[in-house]
Amino acid sequence: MNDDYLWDRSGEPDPEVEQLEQALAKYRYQVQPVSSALESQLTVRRTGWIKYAAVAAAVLVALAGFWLLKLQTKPVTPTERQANREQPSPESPQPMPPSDIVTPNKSHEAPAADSNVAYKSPRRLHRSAKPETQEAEPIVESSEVALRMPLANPFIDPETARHIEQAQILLRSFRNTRDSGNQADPDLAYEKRQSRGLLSKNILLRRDAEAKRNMPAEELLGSLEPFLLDIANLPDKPSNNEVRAIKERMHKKEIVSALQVYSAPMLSEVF
Amino acid sequence: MYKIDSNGLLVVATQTQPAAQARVTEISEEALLVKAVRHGQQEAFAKLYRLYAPLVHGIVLARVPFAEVDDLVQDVFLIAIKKIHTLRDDSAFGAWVAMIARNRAMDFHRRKRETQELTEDLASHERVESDRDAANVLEVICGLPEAYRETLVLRLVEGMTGPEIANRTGLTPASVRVNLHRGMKLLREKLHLEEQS
Repeated sequence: MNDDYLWDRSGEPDPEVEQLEQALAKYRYQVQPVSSALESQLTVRRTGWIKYAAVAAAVLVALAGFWLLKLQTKPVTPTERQANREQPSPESPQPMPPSDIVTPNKSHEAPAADSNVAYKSPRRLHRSAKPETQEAEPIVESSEVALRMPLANPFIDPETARHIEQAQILLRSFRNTRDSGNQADPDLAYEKRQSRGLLSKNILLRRDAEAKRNMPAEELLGSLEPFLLDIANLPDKPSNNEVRAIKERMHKKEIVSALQVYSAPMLSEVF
Repeated sequence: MYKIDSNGLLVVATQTQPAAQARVTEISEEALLVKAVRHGQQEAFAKLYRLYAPLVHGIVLARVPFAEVDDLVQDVFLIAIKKIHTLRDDSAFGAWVAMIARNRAMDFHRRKRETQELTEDLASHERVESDRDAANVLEVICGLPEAYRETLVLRLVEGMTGPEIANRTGLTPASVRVNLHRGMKLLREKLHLEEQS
């Protein structure tokens, strides 16, 4: 028998096949609309794609931001730095002091050295620093040298290293003030002003170290803070007892030694 | 026109150039629809669903009771949407969804055996209500070997022609033709035997 009808319904119809088709037609697929479950699944697929795209875009933006931040902190060349020195920016950012501290007098404050400092030999630094004020010169010079060895102390970033050195110099200066016996008028006005400036910076650096989970730096700055606070909050005419109490605490806590440990490799470059 | 090899129940064939060209046009349209579905286009999915629902319905009907078929068809398309990213060749959607339908039907029987949900009473009750002859014929078809029963259901129940079956399932037209011919022969024999008895 020719099975063309069975194959593609061409040719002479096969009555048996036709009968079977009619009988089984009731089981045939009835056209139904796409169910809501299928449609919702399709919507989920579409929104899922958008979600992935949004996440990818956010990651790209974050990477771009990180890259820009890195570009901003890129070290400048010695010639660029020299040009910056000759034309200092009038709007150098100052950290906000705590509410209980009076804003320090800028004339006695150590100048804020720019964070973008490149390597210079001590001799050349000395020569280039000549036109600047004599008070600020040694602090800037040693901090610049500290940047020569960023890997010498992996826990301390250049800005913190500079801060530690300034604090160390301040504490040494305070410790070496002459004991005036029973007279209550040691001249500590400069140390107090310096301490206020360093205190506000110390708070910022400590919080920064805390955020970066830099435990050694956080601990060091945390132990330094009470001394800066004590010195900054000394009365206008402090008594010898008050000064001596701070000195004794400094001796007991060995804070100068601790600071020295952190800045030792940097200072060794100077000398 | 075709070179045919027989390997048990499955028949493999190679095609000549004109038939292959005609199939390529169909496949490209199918691939476009699948691509659109990948991008979440509902219209494309509705079209793909209309195109392949009879195929899935027929494949499932050849394996499970009629009352369960509609739910399983929905399940098959749900699985297909979820796993469409795993489909490497967009033009092979038909064969792919047919495979999902066969697996889903097998799962149905496995679960039925585990839970003993479908009872004989329910099946017999439905049979009483429906046309007894049609139910008997379908039962006989479902008792045929797998390669024949699927092709016969698609042809006699879903009303698809041989070339359409070949196009949707990815089988060669020669394979489908042989399956139809042999399946029909077996079906006739079984139906005549039933009549005599």
